[in-house]
Amino acid sequence: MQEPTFWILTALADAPQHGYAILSTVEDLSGYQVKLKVPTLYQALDRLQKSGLVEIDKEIVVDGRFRRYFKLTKIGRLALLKELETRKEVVRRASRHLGLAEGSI
Amino acid sequence: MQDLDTEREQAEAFGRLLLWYPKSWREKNGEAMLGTILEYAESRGLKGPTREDKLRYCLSGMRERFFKFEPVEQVTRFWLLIALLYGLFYVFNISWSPGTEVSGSIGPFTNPSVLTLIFVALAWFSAILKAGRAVARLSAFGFLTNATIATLGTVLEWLGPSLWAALLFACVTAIPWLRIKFR
Repeated sequence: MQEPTFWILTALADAPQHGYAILSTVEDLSGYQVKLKVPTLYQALDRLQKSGLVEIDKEIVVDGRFRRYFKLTKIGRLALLKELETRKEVVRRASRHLGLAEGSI
Repeated sequence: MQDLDTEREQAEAFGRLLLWYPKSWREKNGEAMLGTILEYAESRGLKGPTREDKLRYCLSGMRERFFKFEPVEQVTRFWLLIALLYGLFYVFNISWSPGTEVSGSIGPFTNPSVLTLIFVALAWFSAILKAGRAVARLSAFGFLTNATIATLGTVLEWLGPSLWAALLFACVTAIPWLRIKFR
C-alpha cells in the first residue's frame, strides 16, 4: 500500500471527513512527515473509490464552498487492518534484527 | 463588496487550475476539489495560485488527461496488435518505395499512411504502459488520420492507399478507441 493511501485510509478510520480535513488529519497523524497536496489527494480518492475502499458520505455547502465527505467502506477498513498487520510484522522483524526485546518500541 | 469581488477573483484564479483536467474529471471532482483548494489556500493565507501550484496542477491534469494508468483489456490489445501488424505490412510492403515521386508521397513512402502507423505504434506502447486514455486518444488520432488520407487519396488520386485498404486500416484503428470509450 502506498504511503498516501495508508494515511488517507487512516484519516478516515474514525469518522467521515471532507478534503481539507483529510489533508490536515494526515499531517497531524503523521507528525507532519506526510504533507499531501490537493491534486494528490483527489487522485488517490478517485482511485480508492474505484477500488471500493472509500465512498462518498455526503455533500454539503459551507460558507458558499462545496464540501464532499468521504468515508471508509468495510473493504477499506479491512485493507487498513491488513496493512497495519503487515507494518507491525515489519517492525517486529526489524526489532528482532536489532536485538531489541518484543514490545520495547 | 470589494472583498467579495476579491474572493470571487481568487476562486476564479484557483478554478482555472482545474482547466488542465479533462471535462469528465471536472464534472465529477471539480466542485469538491475547488472547495478543498480554497480552504487550503485560506489556511495558508494564499491570495492566488503560486507558480509552483500552476505547475503542479498542470502536470496533474496532463497526467489525468493522457497518462492515467488504466489497464487495457486483452481484446483491445488484440485489435491494436492487428492494427499494428496491418500497418507495418501496408507501410513497409505496399507503400515503401524509395526514390518514387508521386502525388501524395511522403519521404520513401508513396502515401502518408505511415503517419497512421506512428499513432498505432504509440498506442501499442501506451497499452504496454497501461495508459488506457492515451491508447484511446492515439487510436482516435490514427483513425482520423487514415480516414483523412483515404478521402484525400481518393479525391486527389494518389498512388494508394486504395479506398478500401485505407478504410480497413482506419476501422481496425478505431476499434481500440471505441472499446475504451464505450466500455
